[in-house]
Amino acid sequence: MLVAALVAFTLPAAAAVIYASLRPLWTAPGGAEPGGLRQTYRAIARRVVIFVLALQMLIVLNLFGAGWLRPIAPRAVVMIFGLLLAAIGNALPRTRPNHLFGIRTARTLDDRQLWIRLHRTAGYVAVIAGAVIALAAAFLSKDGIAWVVAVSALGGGAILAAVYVAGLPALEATPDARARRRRAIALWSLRVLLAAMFFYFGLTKFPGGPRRMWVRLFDAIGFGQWFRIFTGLVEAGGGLLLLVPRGVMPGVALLCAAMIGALLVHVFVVGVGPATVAVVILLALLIGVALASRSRTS
Amino acid sequence: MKMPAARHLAFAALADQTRRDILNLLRRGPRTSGQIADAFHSSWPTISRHLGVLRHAGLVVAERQGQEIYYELNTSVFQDVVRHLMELMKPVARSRPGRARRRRPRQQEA
Repeated sequence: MLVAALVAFTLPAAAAVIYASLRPLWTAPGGAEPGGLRQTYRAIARRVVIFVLALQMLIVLNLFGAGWLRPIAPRAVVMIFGLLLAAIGNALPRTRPNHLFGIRTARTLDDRQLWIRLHRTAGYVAVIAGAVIALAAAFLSKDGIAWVVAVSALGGGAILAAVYVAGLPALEATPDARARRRRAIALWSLRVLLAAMFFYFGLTKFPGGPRRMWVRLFDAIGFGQWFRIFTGLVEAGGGLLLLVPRGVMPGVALLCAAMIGALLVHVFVVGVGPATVAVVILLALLIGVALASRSRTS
Repeated sequence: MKMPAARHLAFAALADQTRRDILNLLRRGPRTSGQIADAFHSSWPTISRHLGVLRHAGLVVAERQGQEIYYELNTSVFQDVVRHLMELMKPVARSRPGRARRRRPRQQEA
């Protein structure tokens, strides 16, 4: 019972201590106007407090025996997290450079317009990702949830990184330059997302053992297990190449070859299924990256 | 305790074509009140009153830079979505003259 109580109240106690110790750090000169920084900060802090309280309620209910809750508790945690992400994202466009929270780098703290643009994008990304995660937690299987969370995190991170790297676009730039920049951001987001996915796909092919899915699949293909390692190397390496400016074309070529191989395997070995659609989509995205990169350099 | 009032103000502020147009203009970056007034055909006091309403609702904030006061977009994601929905739902007949009026000065600017 003592341990249970300890577990139950560690989280809110720690959260309260952190909140109280950060509070005095908060000084917002001129942030007190309607919708100003001070109000925004309080709104975000309040949402985090509600999140911690909701988690706390789950833990307490679980500990003190609400049997019906146990099977859905993992879902509920993910769902509450998604809602928190959306709630904070909603307020992110209203933040301004400050010393407490946000995406604080030397450049964003220095350049108010970059901060505003980055956090407006971050707000949209977080609201969409949060809503998607909450919905996935409500309706999908455990594996489905893991996939959705991973893809949302990777995709969101890729978009933000691209907006940040695309950097200091002059606000008075011509519409043409603005359109070019938008294309560059989209292309970079896609490259980072594809690179992360293929790197991950490649890594999953390395571990051996007779019961692994990939081992069995490559047995069915019949070239031997060296081909599994080879494919893993091609995918992981091709993924990394996508991140290097000069490496896009070789990377796309390698990965397209791997995906065409996967397509052949689907058609002739394992049979066409939902996974085939994923392969076709990946192939289309790779070709899209190649076309967009070519028209940009020429 | 303040929240219901603030939310109410935001909806009221969004329920006006000129104010939504001002917010749309500010999406491209901060502007001084003079630059905002130049982009519209309404009189200066009208624009000033609209800016006051937007400020009071927290949809824009005023930031002093040297001599000038710049107005910055300060809408939340949700408020942006509401603004878009209002643009989509508005009567077509009323939107046309408004659109024609505000397109031209913007193109000259670019």
